[in-house]
Amino acid sequence: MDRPVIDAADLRVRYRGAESDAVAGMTFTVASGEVFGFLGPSGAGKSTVQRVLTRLLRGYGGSASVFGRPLHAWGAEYYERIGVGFELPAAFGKLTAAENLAAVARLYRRPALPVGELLDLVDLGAVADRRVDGFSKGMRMRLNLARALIHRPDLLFLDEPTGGQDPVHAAALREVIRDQARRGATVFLTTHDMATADRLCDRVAFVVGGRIAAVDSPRAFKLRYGRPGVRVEYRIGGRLDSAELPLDRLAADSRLADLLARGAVETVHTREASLDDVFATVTRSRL
Amino acid sequence: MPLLRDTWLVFLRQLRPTLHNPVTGLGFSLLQPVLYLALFAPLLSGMPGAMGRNSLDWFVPGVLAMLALFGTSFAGFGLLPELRSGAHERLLAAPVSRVALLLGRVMRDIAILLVQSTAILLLVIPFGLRVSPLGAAAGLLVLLVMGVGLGTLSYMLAMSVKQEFVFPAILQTTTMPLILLSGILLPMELAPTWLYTLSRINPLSHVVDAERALFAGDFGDPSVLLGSGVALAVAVVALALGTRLMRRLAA
Ligand SMILES: Nc1ncnc2c1ncn2[C@@H]1O[C@H](COP(=O)(O)OP(=O)(O)OP(=O)(O)O)[C@@H](O)[C@H]1O
Ligand SMILES: [Mg+2]
Repeated sequence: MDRPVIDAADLRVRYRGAESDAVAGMTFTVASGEVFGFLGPSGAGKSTVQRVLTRLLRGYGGSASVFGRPLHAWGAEYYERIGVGFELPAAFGKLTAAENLAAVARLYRRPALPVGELLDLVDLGAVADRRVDGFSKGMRMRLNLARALIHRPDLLFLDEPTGGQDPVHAAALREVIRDQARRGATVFLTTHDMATADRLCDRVAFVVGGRIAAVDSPRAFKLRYGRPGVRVEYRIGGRLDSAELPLDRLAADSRLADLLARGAVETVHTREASLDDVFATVTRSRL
Repeated sequence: MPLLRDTWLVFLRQLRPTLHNPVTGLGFSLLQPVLYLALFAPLLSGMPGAMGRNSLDWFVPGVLAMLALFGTSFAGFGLLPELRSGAHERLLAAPVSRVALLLGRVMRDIAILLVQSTAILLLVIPFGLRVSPLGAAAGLLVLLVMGVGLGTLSYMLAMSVKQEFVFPAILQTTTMPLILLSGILLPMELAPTWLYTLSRINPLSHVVDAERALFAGDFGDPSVLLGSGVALAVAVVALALGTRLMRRLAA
C-alpha cells in the first residue's frame, strides 16, 4: 500500500485561554486519491484540524506528516501542493470574480487553470465580471472552491464545500470534487451535509468533542448502524396507523400479507439506514 | 528573488482597488491637507516674522509631513476587515513570502503618498509657493522613508490589536500629540520652555524642521541631517520588527 498522504498521530490543540482541548488526541490517515470526510457536531474541532494541517495553526501537540514530511519541516512550497477552501468565504470584494481568481493564480508557480473554465465549472461564468461584493453566500462559497482548485493541487482541504448551496448546485459541486479525486488528488473535507458525505466520501470520520469516535466507509456505517426494513402505513376503521417490519423477518412475518389482503395498506417505504441515523447514533453515544 | 517578486504581486493586488476607484482612493485623503491650506494657512499671513511673510513656504512642508503621518499611520485600518473576514488568512495559505505581504502593502501606501504630495505641491505652486526643486524632491524622499516606517508600524498594530474599535482609538491618542508637538501648525519657538523641550523629544518635529530646510534648498542646515536620520531610523526599526513578526506569524 502507498504511504498515506496525511498521517496524523495524537493531534492535540488547546486554544489560548480555553479550559479544554479543542482537539484532544486524534489519530488518522488519509490515503492517496482518497476522499476523506470529517463529520461531527458544531464545535467538535473539525475546522481546527484543518487549520493545523494547512499550517495556519502552529501550536499543536502530537505529530502530523503530509506527503511523507512532518508539517513543521514544510515551507512555502507546501502551499504549491495543497489547495485550501476555507469555512467562511472571503474574497477581495472590490474585485470581480475573474479578477479574484487571476490575482490568486499569479501567486502560484504551478500552471493555473484558465479562469474562465474554472468559473464555468462552479457556475459563475455568467457573473465573471461582477464585483464579488454583490455575490450571494452560495456564490461566494463556489468562488471559494474555485480558488482552492486553481493550481491543480495534489491535496485539497475543503471546509463545508457545499455550504449555502441549493440541491442542484450541491450535486454539481460534488461532481466537481469527485473529478478532483479522479484526476488523482486527495481530498480532506469537512461537512454537515450527510448527502455530500455519503455520496462523495470513500471514508468518513465522526468527530465528537475533539476526538474521533469512529472511521469507516459510509456504506459500512449504514450497514452497521442501520436496521433495514419496510415501513407500512395502513388504515383500519378510518384510523391511520403504521408498522415497521425488519427486512430479515419480512418473509416469515405474515402481517404485511394480512394488511395487503385487507386492502388497508396506503404506503410502503423501504427504511434503509441513512448517514443521518448513523450521525445521530454515533454522536449521541459519545457526547 | 521571490521576496521582490511577491512584494510586487502584493503591491499590484493592493493597488487595484485604488485604480478602480481613484476618487475615493486618492481624493478624500487629499481633502484634509487642502482644507488646511485653504482655511488655515491664510491665518498665518498675519503672524510676525518669516512665517507671516512667506506663510505658504513655511506651512506647505509641514502640511506634507502631516499628510505622510496620517496617510501611513492609519494604513493598518484597511487590513482590519481582511483580518476579520479571513481574506488575510487566505494569503497566508498561498505560496507567498510572508514578509512580502507586509512590504507590498507598505509600498502601495508609499506610492499613493507620492502621488498625493506631488499633487499638493503642483496645486500650491501657482499660489506663490517658492521651492527649490531639488530640495523638494529630497524632502519628499525623506517623507516617503518615514512613511515606510509608520506604515509598517500601523500594520503591525492592526495585526496585534485586530479589533476595529481599539485600533483608531490607539492611533488617535498617539498621532494627536505628535501633531501638536511637531511645529506643523505653529512654530514651537513660540512655546514655553517645557513645551519646547517636549517637542524636541518628538521625532516628527525633527522631520518637519528638515522638510522646511530642504524645501528652501538649505541642504547645509543641521536639521536636514537630523530629520533624515530620524526618518531613516523609524523605517529601519519598523522594518526589522515587522519582518520578525511576519516570519513568526507563519513560515
Ligand atoms: N480562534 C479560536 N480561539 C479560541 N477557541 C476557538 C477558536 N476557534 C475555535 N475555537 C474553539 O475550538 C472548538 C472547536 O472549534 P472548530 O471551529 O474546530 O469546530 P468545528 O468542528 O469546525 O465546528 P463547526 O461545525 O461549527 O464549524 C470550539 O469549542 C471553538 O469554540
Ligand atoms: Mg468548522
